[in-house]
Amino acid sequence: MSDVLDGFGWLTTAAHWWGRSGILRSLFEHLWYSAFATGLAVLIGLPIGLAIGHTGHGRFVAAAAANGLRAVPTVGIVTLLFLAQPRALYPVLVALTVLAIPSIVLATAAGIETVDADVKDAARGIGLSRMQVLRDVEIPNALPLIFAGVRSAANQVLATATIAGFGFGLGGLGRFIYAGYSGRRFDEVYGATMLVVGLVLLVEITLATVQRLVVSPGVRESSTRRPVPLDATVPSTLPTAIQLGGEST
Amino acid sequence: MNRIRSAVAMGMIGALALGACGSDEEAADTTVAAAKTITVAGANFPESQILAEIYAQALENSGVRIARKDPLGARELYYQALLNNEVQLMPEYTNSLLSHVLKQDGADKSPTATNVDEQLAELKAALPTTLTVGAPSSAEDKDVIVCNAAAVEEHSLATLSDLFAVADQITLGGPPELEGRSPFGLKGFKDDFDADFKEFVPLDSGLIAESIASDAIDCGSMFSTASSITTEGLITLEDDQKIVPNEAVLPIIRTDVATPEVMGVLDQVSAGLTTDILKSLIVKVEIDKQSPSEVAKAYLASVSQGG
Repeated sequence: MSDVLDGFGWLTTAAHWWGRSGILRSLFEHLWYSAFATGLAVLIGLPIGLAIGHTGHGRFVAAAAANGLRAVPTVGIVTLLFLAQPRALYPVLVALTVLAIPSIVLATAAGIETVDADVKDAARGIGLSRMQVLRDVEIPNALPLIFAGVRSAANQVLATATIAGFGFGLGGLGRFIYAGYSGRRFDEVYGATMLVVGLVLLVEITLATVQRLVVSPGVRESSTRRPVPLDATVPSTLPTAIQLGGEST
Repeated sequence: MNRIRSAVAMGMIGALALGACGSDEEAADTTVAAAKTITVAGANFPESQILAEIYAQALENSGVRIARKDPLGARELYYQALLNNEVQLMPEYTNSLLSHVLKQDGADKSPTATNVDEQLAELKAALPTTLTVGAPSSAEDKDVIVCNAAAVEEHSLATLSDLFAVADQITLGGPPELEGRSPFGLKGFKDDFDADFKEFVPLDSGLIAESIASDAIDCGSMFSTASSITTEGLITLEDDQKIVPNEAVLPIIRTDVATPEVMGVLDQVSAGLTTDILKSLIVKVEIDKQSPSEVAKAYLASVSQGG
C-alpha cells in the first residue's frame, strides 16, 4: 500500500511533470499514439467488419485472420521494425494498430450478423436497397456491439502503448515504468501505472458517453429488456387454430 | 538474420526482466539445495553471459553441480537477487560493484579506491557477510560514452569535458539505470559537472549502438569491449575527467557456497582472463552469433589444452 502512496507522491511532485522527460510530454505522446492507432484500426477494421457481417461471406477467413493477428506478439512487431530503422515511430504505431484491428472487425461483424433477420427482411420488404438496409437498419442496430469492439480495442491499445518506452526510447508513459523498474524507483513505476489506469478509465467513460448519445434509445432498450416472444403469451393448451389467429369456424 | 536473432534475444530479455521480480518460492528451494548446487546467472548483456558460462562450465568440469538462471537485468536488480539467495554466483566488475554496495541501505558513499587492489580491499570491507568475491582478473570492461560521427564533427567532441560543455544540445541514450547513477550516470554528470543533457533516452542495451549509428540519438553509454563500437563506426570519447575507475572482472559469490575448491577454480579462471581474450569472445557471440555457452566451452577447452 505504501508503494501506491509513493506513486501518488511521485505524481503530485510538480518537477516530474515538466521538461523533455516529464510526465506531461509522455502523457501527450501516450495519448496520441493510442488515438492514432485506434483511429486507424477503426478506419481499417470497420469496413471489413461491415462487409463480413452484411454479406455473411468470408466470416471464417476473417475470424481466423483476426485471431492470427491477435497471436502476433506486439513487442515482436515493434522490435523487428525498429531494428530496420532505429528510433522510428512507425513500428509502435503499426504494432498498436495491428493489436486493435481484430476486436473491431470481429465485434462489427458480429453486431451486423446478429441484427434480427425479421427486421432486415421487413426493411427489404418495404423497398430499401441493400445499402440502405446496411446504413439505416443494420448499423444502428449493431452500434452497441460495434462500440463494445472499439472500447475494448482502445483499452488494449492504451495499456499496450507502454511498450514504446520499454527499451525503444520512444516515450509514452511506459518510459517511467521501464526506467523506474531498472533503477528500483518504484514510486515512478506505480505513478506511471496509475496514470495508464486513469487514462483507460477516462477513455472508457468518454466512449460510453458518446455511445449513449449516438445509439438509438430503442436499440438500447431492446438490449436490456428483450421483447417477450409472441407464442409465450399464448397458453399452449389452446387449440392450434386459435393460436394461429382464429381463422377457423 | 542477425537482426532477427537480436530481436528475439531482446524480447526474451524483456520478458525475463519483468519475470525477475518476486520469486520467493525459488529462493526457498535454492536454500535447501545450496550445499550441492550453485545457481549461476549473468546480467543482460553478452559479455556477462559469457563470463557466467565460463564460471559455470569451469566449476562443472571440476565436479560442482550447477544450476543456470536466465540473464538478470541491471545491477540494481540482480544484486538484490544475490542478497535473497535466488542467485549464488555472478560475474561482476570491481568499481561498479563497489559503488553499488556502498550505496546500500540508504548510504550515499562513493568509492575512494583508485586501483584494483584498493577496490578489492574496500569491497571486502563493504560487502555483507553473506557475499564475497573471488580474485580479480586482468580483464577490464569500462563504461564509455560513444558518439556518432555527425555529433563529433558538429560539436568537435574528443573528451567527456567537450561533451559536458555542449550537453544541452546532446541527446544521450543508455540503459535506463544510467539515469540515477553517479558518478558515471546522468545524476553524476549533473551533480559533478553541471552537465544537463538535452534529453536522456532509456534504451535496451542491445539497441543502443544502432540508435547512435542511425543518428537517432547523438551519443550513448556503452561498454568499452562492445564489438558494435567498431562495426558501427562509433567514436569513443576519452575519459579525461577520470570518472570511470578500474573495472576488473571478478566473480561475486554467496559465502555459504564459496568453498576453497570452488574459489580455487574461480581464481584459476580469473588468472587466465585478459581484456583482449574477453573482446575476442564477445566478437564470437555478437558478430559470429555463437551462443555464450558454446564460446565458453571452446575457450575453456583451449585453456586446458594450452596449460
